[in-house]
Amino acid sequence: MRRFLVVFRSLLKINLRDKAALFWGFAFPIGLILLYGTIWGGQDFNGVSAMTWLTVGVVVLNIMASGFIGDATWLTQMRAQGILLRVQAAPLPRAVLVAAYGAVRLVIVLIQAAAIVLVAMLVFGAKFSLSGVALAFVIALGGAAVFILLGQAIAALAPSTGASMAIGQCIYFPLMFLSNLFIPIESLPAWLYGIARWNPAYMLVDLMRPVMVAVPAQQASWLNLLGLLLYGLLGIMIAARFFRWEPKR
Amino acid sequence: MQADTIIEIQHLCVQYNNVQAVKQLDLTVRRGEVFGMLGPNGAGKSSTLSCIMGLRRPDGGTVRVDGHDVARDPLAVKRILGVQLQKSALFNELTAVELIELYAALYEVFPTRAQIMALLERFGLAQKAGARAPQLSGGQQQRLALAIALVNNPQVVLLDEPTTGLDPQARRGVWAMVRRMREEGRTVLLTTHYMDEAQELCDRIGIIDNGVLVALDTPLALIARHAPPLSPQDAARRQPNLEDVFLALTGRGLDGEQSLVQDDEARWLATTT
Repeated sequence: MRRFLVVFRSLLKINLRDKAALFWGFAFPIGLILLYGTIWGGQDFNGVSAMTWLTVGVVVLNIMASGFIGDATWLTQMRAQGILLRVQAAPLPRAVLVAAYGAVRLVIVLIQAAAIVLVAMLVFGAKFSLSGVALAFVIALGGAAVFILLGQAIAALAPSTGASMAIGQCIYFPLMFLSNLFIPIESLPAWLYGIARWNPAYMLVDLMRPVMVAVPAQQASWLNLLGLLLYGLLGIMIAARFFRWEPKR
Repeated sequence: MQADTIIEIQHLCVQYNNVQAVKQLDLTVRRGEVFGMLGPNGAGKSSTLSCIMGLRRPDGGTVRVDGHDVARDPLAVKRILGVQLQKSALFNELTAVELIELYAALYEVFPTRAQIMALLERFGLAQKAGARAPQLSGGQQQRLALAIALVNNPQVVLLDEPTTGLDPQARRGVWAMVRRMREEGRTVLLTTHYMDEAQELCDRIGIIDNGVLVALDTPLALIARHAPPLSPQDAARRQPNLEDVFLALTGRGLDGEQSLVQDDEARWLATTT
């Protein structure tokens, strides 16, 4: 346990001192909130205040970016720099490393989500019920775990840090627009909606928004939960099968 | 395994795709010695070291460290090894103290702040305790990597080209630390492609080329046995050295340049080992 705590604390420091990660994890989503608030601050979307509706989207966007880009890039970078190999040379059970890393990433996602929600509430008057936010944070943790696993899968497959970032962005950007995060799903053509409803970001926001905001879900919760579970399993399977401690020779 | 043998490699084979990096290597390292693996880039030194460290499973043969089979019980082996890797960076966001604390924890060692400072002091880094890796010079980073290699008080220290890229002063600093490790009774196995380093530091040297051990002995014995006679001009200004031995045994320099010298015995060794 003591070993886990030291590794957890060290990884937390590494993440919180990484300026690029801080920018993309905190400054960028909060900047988005400020931008959206400035544009749509006084308007309503689907019968609720626009900022209340959009804030959930920004939280999910951040979770998605954290997995597809943040985790994937960080892991490939550690591998390219030989740091993973050095860790492998120590008698550290892989489970301890994975648990500490996962715990750090989840804690950071929670802090980021809290910061985003707080800014939206304090600056633009977004309204959420306390019990709704608490439940949404539990859902966010599960969703974050899924996206972390998908990020690990990208890292396992990508041959280099650059490739990892490119793959992450190629997945992240289309999903950003096809997930009901900012663009209401009703505005999509029917055929595109038929595809979009199966993507993990859509499923996560469709689970979180009804809990945080008084809007109905687009599809059954069990379907969203099952879909996220399957995406998580896919991430685990690919990451476990293709994980490498060092770059390909 | 003999009592004074701490690392025993038998018939080791390592293959990458279609390239055989190590071919049926047999090697023993004695307890308490500084053993050097000398060879050009791509000779198979780092691959051999990776197998000893348990980072790579051999494609053939066995590696035993202090009686433990690395393939069967890698954790037991990793506990008694100190490791410095050739191409391994340090976490940029952690200070020297935090790095020691982290790597020690990986070995289930939890040093006090005073113990960490004593270790840094030993490597001349006490003043840099609060500095992060990018704030250290190349030599200081290498010394920190050596300090990290000792966090678990290892019996065997494996150093993969510990002085590559360092200036002469920093190299000599690393040499002094390796000598001190030997004085403390540790076994040191290092790889290098610097002839002077091998000659200066090592009790015994194994010369590896194309994945094959072409010679193994003390530096002086290698020179006595394998160095070809110097030309009158060379003899007037220098003694035969390991570079002459290497050229004679492999037919080329460490940079891969072909030599005119080709020792028959080297060719014979290469085909029989």
